[in-house]
Amino acid sequence: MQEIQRNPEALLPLTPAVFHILLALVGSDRHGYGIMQEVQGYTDGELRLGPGTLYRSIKQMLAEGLIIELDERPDPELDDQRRRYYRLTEFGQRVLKAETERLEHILKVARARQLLPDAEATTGGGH
Amino acid sequence: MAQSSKRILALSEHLYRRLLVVYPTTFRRQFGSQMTQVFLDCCRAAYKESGSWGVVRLWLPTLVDLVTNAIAEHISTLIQRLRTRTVLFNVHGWSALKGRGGNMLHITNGDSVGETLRQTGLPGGILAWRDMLHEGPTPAGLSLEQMSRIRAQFLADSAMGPYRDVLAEFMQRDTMLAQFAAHKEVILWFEHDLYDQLQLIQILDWFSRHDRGKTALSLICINTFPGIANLVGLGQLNAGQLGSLFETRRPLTQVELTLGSEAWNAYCSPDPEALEAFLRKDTSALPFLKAALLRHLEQFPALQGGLSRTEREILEVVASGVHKPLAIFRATQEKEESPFMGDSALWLYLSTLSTGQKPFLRRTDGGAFAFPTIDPATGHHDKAFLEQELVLTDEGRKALAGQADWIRSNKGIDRWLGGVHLQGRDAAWRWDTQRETLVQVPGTA
Repeated sequence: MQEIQRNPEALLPLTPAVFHILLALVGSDRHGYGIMQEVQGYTDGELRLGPGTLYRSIKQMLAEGLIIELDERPDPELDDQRRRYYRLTEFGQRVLKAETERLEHILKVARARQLLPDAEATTGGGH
Repeated sequence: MAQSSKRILALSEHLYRRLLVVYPTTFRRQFGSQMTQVFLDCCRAAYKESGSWGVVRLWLPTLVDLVTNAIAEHISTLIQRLRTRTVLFNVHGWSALKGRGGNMLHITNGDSVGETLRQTGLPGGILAWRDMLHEGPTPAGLSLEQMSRIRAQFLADSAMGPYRDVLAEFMQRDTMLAQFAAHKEVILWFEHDLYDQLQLIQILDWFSRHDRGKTALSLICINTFPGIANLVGLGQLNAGQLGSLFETRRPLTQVELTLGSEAWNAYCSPDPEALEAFLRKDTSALPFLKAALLRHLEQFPALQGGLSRTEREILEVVASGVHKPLAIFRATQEKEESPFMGDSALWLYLSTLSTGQKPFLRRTDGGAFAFPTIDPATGHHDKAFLEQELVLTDEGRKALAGQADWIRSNKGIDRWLGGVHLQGRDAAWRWDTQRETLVQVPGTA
């Protein structure tokens, strides 16, 4: 059978830009600058996406069906006409989850090899 | 805002817009104005934070971003063009295929698997078969070219694209197949469901009628994969998983070719009893064929209610509270032992059930079922399609309760199932779900 049945793992690993854009869109539709600010915000300014990286990633994500471009603008009164809002698709969420699980596994390996402190120890539990 | 800030922002915007010329035209047209807007937003924020110097400082990373991404986008566009040319070259210039890439031809069930196959790095050309043979006519006794013309007409009539474009794709596909002798080996990649098994037997029938010369023919056909519970299809596998199947391919012998050809001829026969007779034979050489073809027989109108199994599943799913097309598609897939129907085919069913003299489905807003339009740049469905909701009509509810018949409610049938054309006031053949056999309807011969 062809068409909808797609394996999210076939797209892994994600580039950092794609991963962060997906993460920024969880629970909220955003335009390009909104995505940029969100990513910059939760990475404490460590990751600043340039417009080129942002829109090349968006192009790729639209083609893969990870996000869709919305027809309407949530706040048309305040927004510039040029703004386009993006929304995470269900497949995009599955891909993001798969990538997060992949990274979590790597993190566990790093912890097991004592490269990082144990998660429970850092949160003060378990002892 | 001060005059100086307006000036520096306007200048930056102007300059950035001019610099976007370094991107490929299609990319610039699609995203240029959004990128300019985002850059302007960044400039405003930088100005607010550090004045003109902040804007100047922003330019350095912006230029790096511009140049690196423009180069990357040009390379990606170039690769895309080369890929397209490679496919065309495989069709028209097979002599160039000698060497590593020319040794093999991989035939797959569609573009998704073809794309993953490409990512495996396996050498060779890739041919996606691209036809939902479980829908529409496949009359008996036709050459591949004649069949492709009929299939193209059916697909075009089913909103799958303009006839000329669909036919051109079929012609390209058939030409590539006809030049198989340029390859040392042809590998068929298929799964167990009806969609794939029909493609497989059509191809096996074609090869059974052509001298294969020195070209070896082999098959990869699976219904399970280690580590994946309930494998639906090859499309679920990533490149590593798909590539690992390559070494498991097995050579096809005359036994499989003959069996495949017999199956295809039975499927295309105007007499459905030919298919039932075929299914009484030993088909173990193609182990997934019997179940797939039995599933095909369940698409005949049921003795009670006149619905195919797919149509009945749709009504049950909608009755259970699932109303939007994509959700209906997913829920019907879950009712299948071996899901075979792609989404495009299911939309045809939704449309059919929503039309006619006494439709069994209707849109909540009273409109006609809207087929999706796909944005070629993004590949996703339009909102009008996604958001429409379907519910059962009174007649649909009666049908589920066994009190209405789809064919009689709509004063007849005109439908192809393989080579069988059911037409007239009633279907000549119906499927007896209790006895699991076809029965001839009296008075329709």
